[in-house]
Amino acid sequence: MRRMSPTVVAVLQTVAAGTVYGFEIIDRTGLPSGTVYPALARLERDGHVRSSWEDQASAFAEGRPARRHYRITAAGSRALAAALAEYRALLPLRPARTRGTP
Amino acid sequence: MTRTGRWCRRLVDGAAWLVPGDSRDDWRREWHAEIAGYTAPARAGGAARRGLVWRVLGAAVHAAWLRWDRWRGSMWTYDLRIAVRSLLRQPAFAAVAVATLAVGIGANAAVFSAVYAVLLRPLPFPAPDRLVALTTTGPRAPQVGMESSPPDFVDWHDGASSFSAMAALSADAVAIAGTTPAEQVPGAAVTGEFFAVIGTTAARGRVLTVEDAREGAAPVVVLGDRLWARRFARAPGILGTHVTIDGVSREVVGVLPPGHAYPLDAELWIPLGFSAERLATQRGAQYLDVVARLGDGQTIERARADVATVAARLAAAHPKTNAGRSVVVRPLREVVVGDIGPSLLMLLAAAGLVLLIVCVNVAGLVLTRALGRAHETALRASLGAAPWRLIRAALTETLVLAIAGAIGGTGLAWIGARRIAALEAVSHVPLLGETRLDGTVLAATALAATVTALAVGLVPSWRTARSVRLAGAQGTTRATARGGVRGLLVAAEVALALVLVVGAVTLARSFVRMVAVPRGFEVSDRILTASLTLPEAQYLTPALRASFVERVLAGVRALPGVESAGAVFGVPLTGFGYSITVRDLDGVRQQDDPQTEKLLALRAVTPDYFTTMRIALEAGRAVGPQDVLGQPRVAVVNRAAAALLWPGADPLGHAVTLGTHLGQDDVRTGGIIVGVVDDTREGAVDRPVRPTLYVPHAQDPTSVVAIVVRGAGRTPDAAAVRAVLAGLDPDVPLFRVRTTEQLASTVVAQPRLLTALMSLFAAAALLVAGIGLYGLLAQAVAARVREIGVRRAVGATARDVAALIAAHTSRMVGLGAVVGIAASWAASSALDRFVFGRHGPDVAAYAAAVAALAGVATLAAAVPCRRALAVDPATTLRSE
Repeated sequence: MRRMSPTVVAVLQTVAAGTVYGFEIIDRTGLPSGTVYPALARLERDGHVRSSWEDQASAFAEGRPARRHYRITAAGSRALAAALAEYRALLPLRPARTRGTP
Repeated sequence: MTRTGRWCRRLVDGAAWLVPGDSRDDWRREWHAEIAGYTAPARAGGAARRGLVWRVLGAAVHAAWLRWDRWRGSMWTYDLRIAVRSLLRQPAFAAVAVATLAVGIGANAAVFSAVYAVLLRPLPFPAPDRLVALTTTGPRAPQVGMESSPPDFVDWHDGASSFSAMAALSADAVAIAGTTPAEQVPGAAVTGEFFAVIGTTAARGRVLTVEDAREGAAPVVVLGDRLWARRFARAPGILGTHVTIDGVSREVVGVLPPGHAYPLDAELWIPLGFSAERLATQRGAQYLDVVARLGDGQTIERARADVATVAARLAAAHPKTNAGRSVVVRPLREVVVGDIGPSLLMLLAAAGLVLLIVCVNVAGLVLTRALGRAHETALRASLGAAPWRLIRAALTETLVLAIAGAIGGTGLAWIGARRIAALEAVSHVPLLGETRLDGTVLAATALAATVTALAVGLVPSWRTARSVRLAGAQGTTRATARGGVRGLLVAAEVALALVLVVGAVTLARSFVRMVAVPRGFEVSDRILTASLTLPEAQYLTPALRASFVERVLAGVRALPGVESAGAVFGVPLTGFGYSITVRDLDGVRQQDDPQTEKLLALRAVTPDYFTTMRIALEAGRAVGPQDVLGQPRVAVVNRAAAALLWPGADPLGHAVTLGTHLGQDDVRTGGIIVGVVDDTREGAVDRPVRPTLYVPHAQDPTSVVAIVVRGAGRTPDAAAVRAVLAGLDPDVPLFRVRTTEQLASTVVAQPRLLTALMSLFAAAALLVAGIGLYGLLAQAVAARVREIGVRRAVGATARDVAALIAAHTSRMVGLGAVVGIAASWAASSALDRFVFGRHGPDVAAYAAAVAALAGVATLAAAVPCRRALAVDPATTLRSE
């Protein structure tokens, strides 16, 4: 499996927080829609997220059509954990110089 | 839903077409729901609106990504990646193939864009295919732009029922004066139904109506968009103001939208009405163009029959003027475009030949690659690759080449189309300025590229298929050195190139003959011509006009650097001027019989005209300063007129009168012949010389004159001439300021353009054929290195090796040349109409073309030949 890019990880992380729709992810991540949607499509293709249509009744109550909701899958959770672990592993690699004494 | 919301939904619906079909509905539903949620009242205001637009633009990216993601996985894109990679591994091959394809496709797209603009794109009027022009033919052949007379027009208009509207117009340059300096602009006087015919409505104000053309109506004018922009800076308050046109103050009542002018160059329109007197007396005065719109359900054939009935009735009622004349109804475009069609189609055919050569060349190059890979192909086939997969891989490669070539070609065509559009002014091809790459042209280019890819891909595919078949029969896949098929391809290129070169050389020789024809006057940049029109309202009497022109000439002669100056009615070299019937010959009234009548072109000239233009005096004297009003009327004829009127006799002392009053109310033009001058050729040189009568301008002072100014050793200063005129009357503009050299080059502009473009195509064809020849020879030498080495080792001299290469080259070039000559010969009659002064094949052109081809072949063979001579026998033998 290919490594996930930071933007894809950000999107997956947002989805992991709960059931969300596309524009919500845009609002939370601040990423452009042209990045978020292809990321979602790729995650769904790879089985990391699953989409479903919102309940008709609740949408109707708000006077709008039903949105598409994204939820993280078990495989997605594992992939997210692995990706985050990988990024964390980078932390100790900070160059010594940034600590202070030259 | 807000306006932004609706716009966003439309954008989403548009982008949805990119989404793969099985997920398209879900995709659309998702985006619509998000937009609906976003436009809820919670988020309102400009910032939110901009945010939404920004997000929805991402939908297009999303859709494109989904499509790309789907493609990426398919075999086709696998082939594509492989093809691009393998082409990049041989950049020289790819560059040559793409560059030649770009030239071939670009040339076709550029020429097609011009053909489309001039011949095919609908005219910018509503239902343009319903527009027709009515002209007449008959023994009184109409002069340029003089097709109908006022009474004839009125009878056609009232008598024919198959038109919804019919109008007459008289297009002419008019002087517009007012707050800014006077200038001459192309305009048209039009009858009441004119705007109903062309179907144009005003952008501001109104167009002209039938009421405006009635006698006694207030004088009005409608401006074209260009004039409004140029002279009035698009002033919104233009309506209701007055401008002076040819000395008459007219109220501006309307402005037309851009691009809706007819005639195409007209910039203003004034009403044209006919007085009862004009209708009674002007049956023979054919100075009107007639346009009409076919009625609902009417066909052009019905209209023809309809008009023929009217014409027959007129011929019976007015035999003197109308007998033997018939009316021709033609689509308006035909009349607008004239006879440029065949030239454009020939250029398109030439561009098509170039593309064909390019196809053959690239096919040869691709085939060479296919042969080089025959071993690999056979191996893959024997390992179980499906034949169609192998062929598809080969085709994908040529498709990549064709797409890259099409992109490059479109770039070239874009440049070419702009260049062509800029040529309208110099070439006088109507509508050429409209040349541009629009959707239709791009679609045609894409089609040409696709056909090219298939044509180019066919040969290697066939070759691949053969490799696959041979794979079963083990081995035998080594490329043959002579390459029979590739030899034939190169011969085909040579043959096609030869056809183009023969055509180009034939046209070039014709052009040289054309400009070499003596014109009978001096063509140089030392003679300046310029036109002026005196407003008849101010210059009412002949004496006023004569003295004004004389004062202008006196002022111009006094300018430094001016050698002489004269004036003429009937600007030289512009085709302008009337042909008028001879009425009396030596006092004998001529019969009014259209079969035997004699027509003379009429020029009114001042005494210095002949010397200024260097028109040779053959006998007698020229017009002199003593030939003024009140003195005996005299005239000068050219040799053609002398031969027409008094064949074999000395014309001096004879008398002729033409059936017209020229600037004088009751005096007919003509007089005693006092001199004979040389013939002048003023139009296209392939037309016969017009018999011409020159009368003294002082005795027939026309209000339209051209002044001709001869500088002492240099071009006279046009600004100084303009200043002289402005000093005498600031409301009379000077226009069409040209040297005789410029005028003469205008006359041959179209043949020159044709010759130049044909030469360009021929050069491209030679270059491409040369590349093809070089490629094949280089490959052949590389394949025969061992053989050449062995030959040298057993005693062959350098000369023998060179002879080997030469034999190989001349076999292909010779075959191509023979086929090319035969094809050119067979096609030579198609060229005849473009060739001046001769018919049938131009043998010298064939010789020149073969020589050019031999030169290119020698160049193409030189490098491979050097390489062959450099083969070291010792090295070769050691490697054996």
